[in-house]
Amino acid sequence: MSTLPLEGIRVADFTQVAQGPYATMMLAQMGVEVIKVETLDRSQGDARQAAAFASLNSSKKSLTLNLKDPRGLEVALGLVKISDMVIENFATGVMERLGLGYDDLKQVKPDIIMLSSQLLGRSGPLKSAIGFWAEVQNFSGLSHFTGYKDGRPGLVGAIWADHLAGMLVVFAVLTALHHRQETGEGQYIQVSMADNLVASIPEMILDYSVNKRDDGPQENRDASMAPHGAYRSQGFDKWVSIAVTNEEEWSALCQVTGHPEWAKDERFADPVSRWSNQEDLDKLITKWTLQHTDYESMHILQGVGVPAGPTLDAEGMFNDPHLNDRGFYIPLGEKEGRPYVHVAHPWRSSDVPRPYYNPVPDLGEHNSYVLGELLGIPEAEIARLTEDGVLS
Amino acid sequence: MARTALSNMKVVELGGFISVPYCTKLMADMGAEVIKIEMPGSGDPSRSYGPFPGDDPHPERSLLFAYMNTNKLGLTLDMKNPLGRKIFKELLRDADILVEGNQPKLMGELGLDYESLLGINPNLIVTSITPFGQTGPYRDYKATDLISFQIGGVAYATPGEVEDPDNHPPLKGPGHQGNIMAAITGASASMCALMGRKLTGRGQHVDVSEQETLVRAMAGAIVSHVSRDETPIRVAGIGRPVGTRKPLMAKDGYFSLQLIFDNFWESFKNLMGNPDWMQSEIFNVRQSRIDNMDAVLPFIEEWAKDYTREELYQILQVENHLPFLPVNSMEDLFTHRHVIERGTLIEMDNPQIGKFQAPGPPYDFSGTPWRIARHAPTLGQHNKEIICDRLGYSSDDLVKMRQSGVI
Repeated sequence: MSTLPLEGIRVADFTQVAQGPYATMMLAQMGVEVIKVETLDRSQGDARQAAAFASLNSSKKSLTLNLKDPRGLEVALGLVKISDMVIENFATGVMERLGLGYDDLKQVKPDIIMLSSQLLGRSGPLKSAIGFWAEVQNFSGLSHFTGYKDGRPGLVGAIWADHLAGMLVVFAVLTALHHRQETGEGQYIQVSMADNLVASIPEMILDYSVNKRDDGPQENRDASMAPHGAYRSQGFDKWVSIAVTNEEEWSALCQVTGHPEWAKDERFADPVSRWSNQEDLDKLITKWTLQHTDYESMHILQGVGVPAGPTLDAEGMFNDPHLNDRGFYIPLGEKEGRPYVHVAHPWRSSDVPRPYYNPVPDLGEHNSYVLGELLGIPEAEIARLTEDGVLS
Repeated sequence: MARTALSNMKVVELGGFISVPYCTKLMADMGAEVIKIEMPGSGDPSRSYGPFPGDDPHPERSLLFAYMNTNKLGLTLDMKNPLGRKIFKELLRDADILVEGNQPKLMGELGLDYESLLGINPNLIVTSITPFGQTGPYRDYKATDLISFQIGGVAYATPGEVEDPDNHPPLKGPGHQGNIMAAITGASASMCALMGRKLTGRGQHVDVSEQETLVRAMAGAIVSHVSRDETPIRVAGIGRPVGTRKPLMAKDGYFSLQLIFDNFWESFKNLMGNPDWMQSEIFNVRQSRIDNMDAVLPFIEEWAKDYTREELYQILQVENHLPFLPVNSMEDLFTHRHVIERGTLIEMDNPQIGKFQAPGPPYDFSGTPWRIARHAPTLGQHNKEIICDRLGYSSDDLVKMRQSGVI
């Protein structure tokens, strides 16, 4: 049997919504025992929310705990004592008010690694602001550059800020874990989702810093490449994107589309002219792409070394031959009579034949495991805690 | 010098635009030693990408390069030259991690595929970050951030619903969001492999497909399609919407306000004085409210048009605890009191460029701080230090390498 890289590590998981749960699911899939302390009622929402919940909370264990009850807090601190890391993303100040701030945790577990991730960080005048991925994308400048020239700002989809910060959380806690293994020292990490997003658009930040340039929505344009865009293909709302990065690719595109005259046209003869005349060029390319399906165009262009690819919607992603060849969708049985697939871990490793994929736990499924087996609380006491509503 | 978390970690970086350099920047900024290998002559693609101060292009004055390569050592090596590859392999002998972004085909042709590298150092972790990964029919296909974002599915949900799909294509994210996601994933994956090595004593090949790092972020939509026959559609009004969170216009610019949870809706209803339109059943059931948010937005906009965003922040966020934030332009961001007080942007003073502001740390580690200990290297700045002092070549050899274009 192979060993998962993070086996033997335990995380007390106080996260909710998307960012924190995504991070702890990544850890769980690599072998961490993630104990999700659930304080929110999962039922706020219908089956669609349940599906979203499942896609972010598989492979974890579930413990329900009323943290406002002193006995609930005691159980939580007991869990911290036997954990390596604590990860949370409540609004700034909530953990402290519950008696679960870093100083409290250090008392029971001096080498604990604690990570707090908040929307706008834990300092500054807006540190207590609440919001979700859309708000923080707006605040940090992403939305200002997203959208069409003639319209309102738009949002990068995919709950983007949460996924980007969630992945950063994984890097941060593993970095701290490495340091602890080398030195025995734990520490406190504070992540700001906004600062992470600001760091994701350095081109704009730097250009504004020195050149005071802010061109607003970029659409699908690039600062120097042309052609560079999404082009209509055969079928309703089908698109193929094409990006020509050098002269070799440009000449290959002209040949393979049967338009060697484009290469000789002075409007398109060099990269600078092409960029200036890209609207004319886009119209010509669209005439060609409309004669093909999105995938046909990709294969024709990639066949001669030109970067191209279709726009995939949910169905397109699920059916994409490449993703399926790589086994990116993991069947995990059925849920309510419908097939349930889990989207695989976002990296592969030659030493990890299969990450740990387990369906989402039921609410409180592991209460007796955590309290009984891990914390050694006698059965009668667990029954009393259950009866008194401490485990709900 | 402050202690760093990754001070005993040795990383070699080869190839890739942003996805690889940002991955190793995350490590270098936390203390790892990163040797960045660049092609002699042209160097890293970001040296010619810019932005440049005063729009005056110069390979040593690219701000993007200066930002992406802090804390790294710079070595030039022609990987097409056998001596270049020999030096590269010598470097890998005592490295922990190689992060690379070349086409799998090219690494094979150069004799630098994982199996060959394993022969040099069985403990080596090789993290490959490429558009489509190491296996599968598209493995050697090329992609830029635009292509990845589209075939990775995130573009389909960006920027939200459209009325006129023919004239409003799915959009990429600003800058190079796909590359950044792949970079952070590669950094997490590398650290995970390093942990695994402590358990097994073996190195491993980590395969990061940028497409998959993006599709993973769209998992909710895929699960909805497969399990519930509810496929999100970006064309307005013909199915389940891809998103319902449009920015709205205030007196002095755009903002957003989320009313998805019932408690937010109730607070906002009270703030509005319980008008008739808000009593409708459609708006008072969470899922139905989300699906019909387009009908709510004009009412909010009508109310908000008399207030500035700072006034709205007071009313909505401070007084009513509602999730409100402004849409910031660059000017808004650079002058925002929160950004200034937190130090979200830091001043860098690069000897080739001068002073400029750049994104600061995305996190704060209490014990092992993020820090900038050295500027991005000039092209080949550390050639002598690495080739002569570490690998033991003579300065005569170095001159020959230079003359023959190996470095």
